[in-house]
Amino acid sequence: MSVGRLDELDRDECLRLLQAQEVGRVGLSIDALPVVLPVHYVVSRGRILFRTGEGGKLRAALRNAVVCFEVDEVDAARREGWSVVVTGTARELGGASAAEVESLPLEPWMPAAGDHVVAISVDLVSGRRLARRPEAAC
Amino acid sequence: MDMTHLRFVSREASLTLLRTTTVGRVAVTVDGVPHVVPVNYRVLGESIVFRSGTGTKLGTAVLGRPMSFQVDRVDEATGTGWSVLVSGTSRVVDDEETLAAVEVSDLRCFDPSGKHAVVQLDALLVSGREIAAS
Repeated sequence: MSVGRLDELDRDECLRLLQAQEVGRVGLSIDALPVVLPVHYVVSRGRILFRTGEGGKLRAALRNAVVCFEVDEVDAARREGWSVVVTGTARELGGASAAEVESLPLEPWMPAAGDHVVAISVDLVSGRRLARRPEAAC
Repeated sequence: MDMTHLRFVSREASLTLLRTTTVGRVAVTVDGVPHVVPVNYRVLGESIVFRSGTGTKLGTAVLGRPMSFQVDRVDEATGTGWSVLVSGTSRVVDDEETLAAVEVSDLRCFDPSGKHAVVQLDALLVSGREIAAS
């Protein structure tokens, strides 16, 4: 028996949800293997920004890789929740752009995460919401 | 100013952490582009099982391509938490024994519509990180 239905979210709703969270997950390919890493982030001027040290996320940014960024909030017990996935290009912010970040509430999730700031452009956006419905269909 | 420190979590401890929750994220690469989707899951032995309808997750499993699975728990207030990443090969489950075990585990799919196959990801590589209070 299942209860609920899965609705597609429009871009505006996805962006609203994206801006309301603080922790998301970067999805990238490392040696052809998909990898998911949690980060603290902020959305600023149409980009997702996070701090990172030396490692896979920075290397992806340095080669301007296409990456995805996922945020969700799921209550397994109530079978309610949503998820938003952004696909865009990662790049490292330097110079004046990096200085701009200093004024943003952007904490590294990992202690001593490093000084590099990576931006992901919000290009493709998709989202889904799992909503309860009173009568189960099956 | 850091009141926390990063610590690596062993394979055994990571698998134990995986058994403490039921929602994680599957990551697949389609045409070179990574994609991440939340799923309900269960841990069977040293594998992750979840239900999937037609799409990128099932396509990856049918082709036996590499797949990753991630779970985390972050406490915003204290800045502590953990994250576990599992990578390996995936397949569509067709043996009765595993399907019966999945049935018993009350595993459901987020997407209530359509038919769903059971996908199994063997935990070939397991890495865990924990941010603990100092």
